[in-house]
Amino acid sequence: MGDAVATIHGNKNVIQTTGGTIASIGLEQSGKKIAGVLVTPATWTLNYVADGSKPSAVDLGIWASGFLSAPAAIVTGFLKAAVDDDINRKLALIQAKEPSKSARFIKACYNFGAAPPAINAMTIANSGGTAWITSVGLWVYITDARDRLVADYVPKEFVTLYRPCKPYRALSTGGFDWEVIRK
Amino acid sequence: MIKNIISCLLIAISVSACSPGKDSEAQTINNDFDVFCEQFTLLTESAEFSQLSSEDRASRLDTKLSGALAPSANAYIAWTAIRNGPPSERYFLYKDAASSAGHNHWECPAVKQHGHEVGSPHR
Repeated sequence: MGDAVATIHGNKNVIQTTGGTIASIGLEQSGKKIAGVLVTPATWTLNYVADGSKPSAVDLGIWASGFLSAPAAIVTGFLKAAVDDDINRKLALIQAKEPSKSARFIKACYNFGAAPPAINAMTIANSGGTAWITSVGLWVYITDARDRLVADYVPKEFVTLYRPCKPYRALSTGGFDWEVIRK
Repeated sequence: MIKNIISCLLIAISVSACSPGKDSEAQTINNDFDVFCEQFTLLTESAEFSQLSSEDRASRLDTKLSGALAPSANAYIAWTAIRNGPPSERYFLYKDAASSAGHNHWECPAVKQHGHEVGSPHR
């Protein structure tokens, strides 16, 4: 039973995308197209209630494209969901190695902005946060309970880590001097 | 609907198979990291380069880049962060950033030679 729950949670986005798509098609074919495109945001709401996860900018773009081209949005959405599930699996591995009180605040850099994760990690360090990549190949960062970046977290395991330099000093450009630590 | 999905996938695979690779000449000449390299090279070749502080050089380059690149361009976002990164690591960071954006073989001699001299001095 535990394995089944873990499998469902690990593939949550694919399952929800498929379910959302089927529901959307059903509603569109019954002449309720607007109701159809509203299905996916409803699943995001459920995710937010269940585990605090929010839709990324890419999710929003795919949802918006649903208004224009349903087949393309379905294919793109399905591929995006598969990527999200892979990220969630790797994120769970990283969280498992960190103290439980911190683990839930560790997030994938993939969702921080529209740039690639490696660039998002640099942006996070420049903004006063700690970002790192582990042996599983996923860039992650950590926030506090109020979603603010944490400057001095030291993960148990990392390959490369970016973080602001002490003493913390905001530069005229708006960022912080930051450093690279490699293991 | 299933037929439509399969058709879309087949078309996407065919287009991908017939397209040139990411490292083809057409894509490496005009990507945003090449624009960054071009502007960086112009800065280092300017007469006043040696007279300016590393922060002033960064300020001038930022002015040039903000006119040449969109704020959402990966190269511009990377530059905004890396200018405050460790001077000795900057070239590797630019290369990492370019690689993450799909430009695996991006090179820029001017950045390699002067990257540590443009940005925060890390006092």
